Amino acid sequence: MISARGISKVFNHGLPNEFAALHPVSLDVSLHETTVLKGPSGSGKTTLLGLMACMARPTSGRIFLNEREITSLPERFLTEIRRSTFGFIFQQFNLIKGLSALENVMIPAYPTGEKYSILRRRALESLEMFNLGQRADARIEWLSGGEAQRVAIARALINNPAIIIADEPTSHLDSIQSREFIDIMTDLKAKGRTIILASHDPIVYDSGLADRVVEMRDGRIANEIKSS
Amino acid sequence: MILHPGILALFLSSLLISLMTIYAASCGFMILRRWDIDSGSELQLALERRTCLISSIASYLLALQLLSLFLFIQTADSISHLFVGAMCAVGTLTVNSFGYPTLLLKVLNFILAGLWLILNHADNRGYDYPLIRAKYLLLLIMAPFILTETVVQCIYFTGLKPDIITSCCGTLFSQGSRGIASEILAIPTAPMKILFYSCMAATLAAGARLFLKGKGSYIFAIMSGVTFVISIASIISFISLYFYEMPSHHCPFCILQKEYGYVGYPLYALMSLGTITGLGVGLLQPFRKKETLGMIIPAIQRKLAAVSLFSFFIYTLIASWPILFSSFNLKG
Ligand SMILES: Nc1ncnc2c1ncn2[C@@H]1O[C@H](COP(=O)(O)OP(=O)(O)OP(=O)(O)O)[C@@H](O)[C@H]1O
Ligand SMILES: [Mg+2]
Repeated sequence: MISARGISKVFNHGLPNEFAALHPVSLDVSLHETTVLKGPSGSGKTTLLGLMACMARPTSGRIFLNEREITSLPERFLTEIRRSTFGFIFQQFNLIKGLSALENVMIPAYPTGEKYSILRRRALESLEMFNLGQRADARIEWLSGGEAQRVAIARALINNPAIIIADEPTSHLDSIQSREFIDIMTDLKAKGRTIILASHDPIVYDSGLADRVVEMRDGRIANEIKSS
Repeated sequence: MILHPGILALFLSSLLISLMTIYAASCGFMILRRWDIDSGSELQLALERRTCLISSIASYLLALQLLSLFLFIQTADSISHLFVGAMCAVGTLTVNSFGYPTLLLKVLNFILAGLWLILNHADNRGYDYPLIRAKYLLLLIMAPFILTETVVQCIYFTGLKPDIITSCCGTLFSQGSRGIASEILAIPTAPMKILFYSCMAATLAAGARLFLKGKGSYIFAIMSGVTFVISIASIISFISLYFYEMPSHHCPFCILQKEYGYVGYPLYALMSLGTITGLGVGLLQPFRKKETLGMIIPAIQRKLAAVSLFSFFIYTLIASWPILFSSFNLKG
């Protein structure tokens, strides 16, 4: 369970352009279901996902991951949790240009010290799973939007994270690709992964994938629409 | 003031360390009063971010503080030719009455900084800032000494003018002179030797017991402190004589010079390393109870004890070398 207790996020604190992206928000996310955050642009979805995945620190409030408090952890402890627990699929993919698809997938596992040949084989298998075996050596900038996204998913999965977080995963995809994405996630869910999504795409939050839809508005949780 | 690179470096590093100390102490004050890891308040989260920054900066600057002691001695030694009558660092230090106080403050801050680094190292191993209060308390205790050192050192340096007539170590470290040095010199060398070797043997035994059985942390820490004092006294009393091969030259600074192979540097470095790591063992002892450090502290103590043992042992070896092997004999 990820349990956020009164977390707020203020950007540019104390400056003239100070902006409160999240007002104190509390949310419990069960690890046995798939949660979708939905809401208009700027409502704070990305911000909330970033905090839950230990990628940024809240301005106030605490977040517990399976009873362990994570916001107070010094960075050197956080890195390990972030690496082993979360697989993050970014809104803009954030793949590294100039590197091949395969290298991009392998990067998050480099710090683990896994043997290169084994890691390479795992990364290739993962790409093949997403029908990208042929494109492993292609540079990121040569890939189509859908291919790039599947590389981003493969990268998020390389360290076998318990929790997969995807931010607006279908925003660059057409509806066929979007449904493919839903299928991939449904498959991962069946394999026991926790999935947390942010999306304002009906294909996502109306799909059978979502067990729970939480609606956000102006940095607050507006209401819950669907609950299992 | 004399524009010497060493003096400028010392000046600058003291200033940096002082500025950092003022900032860290003001934060430390807040941390001691308001730290509450269970709270998710904005203040607490801000303090957590700030202590992370302070700890990193402080650990670098306090490492610099350690170096600055040796740089200070080295600088004093290397500019001694500018003063009439000076032969080594002693002459430079007695140019005005702020030389020795600066040195004493530097030695004190050296020990405190070393202990803080050990505390910080242990704290960094726990995920819930287990030693945060102790760390900042120590920093607050250090702050006045560090600031005083900066001021006194500044007065000392600005009062350094070439061609001032000063004293040479020969007059200060000889029987008949006044002060603490003469007290030491008044003790005959034979009992001093016995004291030194038995003290060292006891410290090494306490260290070995700690290393092997994990027992006797406080005893070892106290012994390390005692060894520090006795070692310095022994250098003045008899160890230096064997390096100089002169029956009445007791200066603890001339051994830093080239004629004696700079042997003073390893001697003092090993002695202070042994002392700080030894004291560190005792400093960490009360925190064994901390939940997140329960397994970690004994391991750190063991490492510290090993470093301390090694340092004291090599120190004794170097100090005893000429006593055992040189043709020079005190009894003549
Ligand atoms: N680093 C930042 N500095 C300043 N403001 C920021 C920063 N990051 C986000 N914001 C602001 O915080 C608000 C919430 O942003 P966030 O990215 O969480 O929204 P979102 O719900 O993900 O929107 P979208 O659906 O467009 O992705 C926005 O108004 C945004 O401009
Ligand atoms: Mg977003």
